[in-house]
Amino acid sequence: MNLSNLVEDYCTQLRRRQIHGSFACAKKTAEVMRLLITTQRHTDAASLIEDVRTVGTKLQAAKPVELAIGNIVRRVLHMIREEQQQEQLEQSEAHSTPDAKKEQKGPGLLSQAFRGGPAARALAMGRAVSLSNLLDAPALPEVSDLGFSGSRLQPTTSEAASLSAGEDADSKRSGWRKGKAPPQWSSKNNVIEMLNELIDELDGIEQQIAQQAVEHIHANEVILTYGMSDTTYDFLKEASRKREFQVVVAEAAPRYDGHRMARQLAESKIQTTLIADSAVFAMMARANKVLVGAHAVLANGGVIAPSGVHMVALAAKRHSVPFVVLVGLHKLSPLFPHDPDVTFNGELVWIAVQLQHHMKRDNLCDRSTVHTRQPPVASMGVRHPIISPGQAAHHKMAEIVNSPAPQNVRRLYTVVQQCGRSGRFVTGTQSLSAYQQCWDCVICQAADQASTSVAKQTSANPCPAVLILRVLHNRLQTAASLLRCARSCACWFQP
Amino acid sequence: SSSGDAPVAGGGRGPGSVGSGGGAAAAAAGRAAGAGGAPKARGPLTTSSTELFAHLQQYRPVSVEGVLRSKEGGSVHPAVVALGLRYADGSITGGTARCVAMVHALSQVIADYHTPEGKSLTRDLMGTINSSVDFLVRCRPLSVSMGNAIKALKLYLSKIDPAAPETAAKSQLLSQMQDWLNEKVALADKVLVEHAVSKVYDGDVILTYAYSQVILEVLLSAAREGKRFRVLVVDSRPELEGRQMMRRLLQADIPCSYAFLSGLSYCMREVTKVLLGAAAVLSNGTVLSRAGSAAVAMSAAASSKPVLVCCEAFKFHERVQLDSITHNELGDP
Repeated sequence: MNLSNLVEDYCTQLRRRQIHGSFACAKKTAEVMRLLITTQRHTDAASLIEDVRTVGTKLQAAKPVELAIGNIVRRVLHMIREEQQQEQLEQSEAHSTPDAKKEQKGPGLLSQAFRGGPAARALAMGRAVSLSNLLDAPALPEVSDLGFSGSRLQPTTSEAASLSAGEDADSKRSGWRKGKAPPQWSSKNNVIEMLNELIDELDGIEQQIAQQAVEHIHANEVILTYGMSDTTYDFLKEASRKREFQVVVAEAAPRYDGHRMARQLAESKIQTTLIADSAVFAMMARANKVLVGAHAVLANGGVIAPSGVHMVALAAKRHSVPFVVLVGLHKLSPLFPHDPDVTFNGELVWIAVQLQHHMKRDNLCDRSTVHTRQPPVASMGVRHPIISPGQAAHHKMAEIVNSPAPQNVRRLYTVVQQCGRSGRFVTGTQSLSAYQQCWDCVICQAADQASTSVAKQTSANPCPAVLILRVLHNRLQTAASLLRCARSCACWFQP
Repeated sequence: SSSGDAPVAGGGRGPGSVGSGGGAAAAAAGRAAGAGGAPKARGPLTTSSTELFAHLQQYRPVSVEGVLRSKEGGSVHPAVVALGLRYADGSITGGTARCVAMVHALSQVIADYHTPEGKSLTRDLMGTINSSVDFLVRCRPLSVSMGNAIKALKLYLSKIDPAAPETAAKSQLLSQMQDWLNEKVALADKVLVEHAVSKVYDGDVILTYAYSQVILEVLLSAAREGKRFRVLVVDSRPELEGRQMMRRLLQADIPCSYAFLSGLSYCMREVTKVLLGAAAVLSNGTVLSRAGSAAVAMSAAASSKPVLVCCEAFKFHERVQLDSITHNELGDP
């Protein structure tokens, strides 16, 4: 079947909300990716990456709130880039002289690892980055720069990372292009193999999570859960085969999913009690642990969960009850809560700029606090933008965005700068395209004004993008992370 | 039929729902009915609650016929019967309202009371009042405010001069109870409202939970004084009292928003302060309030918003409560 038709059908299904659940979306996305990689011809990794990014962007844009789609696409991109690096590594080894190799090995194992030296890369092949092999793995900035969100971020490139092998690869590629029928990229099969593994892993997720049930649930425990979650239900069902326990389910207004969960649990012969949301605090005193499912887990450990789970988490913290979130790997996202791609509540809420006189008029500058918690995300420590639902602000915003005249952009820039200095942002709701236009304007303007001060943390005349990033990444103290931000920001400046 | 305290057998049981109240700070004593049960239960649906609540007074459905046919229904004053039925079906809720209604009903009892031959007024009237209160308890457990009112009444009753004629004694008792109401409830409310209104500033976004008579008065008074603020009413199942609060606020032209308890953390950012009413305040600082107030207070604390609890002195009690399960009220499952 035609790939583009399939993609269109899938997008339509997503837009019409005919696909339910992160798992279904993730599985479908993986299958679409697999089809894309197997059926289309790609001469090299770059074109494959480009294709995957295009399709991935389209899919994610069809349902921005479903982060699992983006996660799967990022995993696929990571696989492709891994293969590309491995390929370049092999080429560099073939081409480089023994002296060059010695030089590369000179600096030492740790810095080599961060620079992505050959030894480190060989070690890291096929292993996910984790605490146990952190010092072996290639530098973290490479892994996290795999963002493909929107058309704003260009791929930060593994080409930049392995400079020595870059020219060789280019020459090889051009050599291929000279031929009549360019052959397929040789490592594609590996990618397809890894993708098959991913799909198999996705199939086995629920089972794998449920297998751990017996070691977490013990005899005569009272488990509290909130609303409906298939993962949690399977977990509890598996545990009930060996243990006796009771479950207290909170109906999750306004959907009242808890009723469905309670009925399912009761049909599985688990002793269940259904309570109202208002009774969660009371029951927490008698609960031994809380088990919930989540929509997504963000990079700072924050959790996007159904509305009301934050309240349950607060109650659990107050009573010191262990709070367990059950998620599959397709829900692990590398995004942060302030990321414009992370949308809460099914509608698009992100950073827009409110003109200062509106802020003064609504008395919002003085009254609202800066350190506030995000809606349903129980994340800690990141300075969050404040939501202010001012209608006038929206109109003003629309006005600015729809007419990106220079004075408007300058106004925007000034306000952003002022907001950035005071560390406060005000959000509103707008369409994605309007937001993109707005940011493009700001960044282009900034690009004209400052070109070299991107990577420097100067306070004299900071680039607005860096200023914004500095405010947003307030808690990131390390130079490496700032550099990472700046590098991603620099990508915006590239045409 | 009375439900026994038998613990429920594990497994094979339909989803039973238990009402329990979650309150502010640690405990609750609001009327909290269970959440929408299991309409299609597979196993036998029992009316007894789980072991966790075996120490609490079990729920017994109260109906008009049941009351009239029972022994107590005949011997208790009709005003008290009417009151008990109103408690049971939820027409009268809220600490202050229940207390005031009960004092009025007991005043009626006292007014209609005639000392039988050969009996002393104090002892016999005490017996009558006790039986009335027992009837009310059977309809619905006493609230802290009601308990304090009964204590005051009994105190006044015990201080009556035995030699005084019946009419004088009765009128004295009635006027004392009226003074008690005026002082403890009306005057206290007035001072409380005055004080609380001074805490409402222009541009405030005030969050309030479910229905509270005192908070309503505070907000209405603040609006009358011309302060510009808006209110966010948070509501929850099963009572959905917030709608009543919202209606009353809108009648006074106060801009209001409405939200469910599960959307609380989203709404909390734009809120400037939280005003809560209370059913009781205990001696270790615990505030008893409508089920779900604890969630509101916790959320506010997490967002660093001030929480103000408005409670008259007649709702204070010297006991100590550690969590919501120790003392509570079971509603209709």
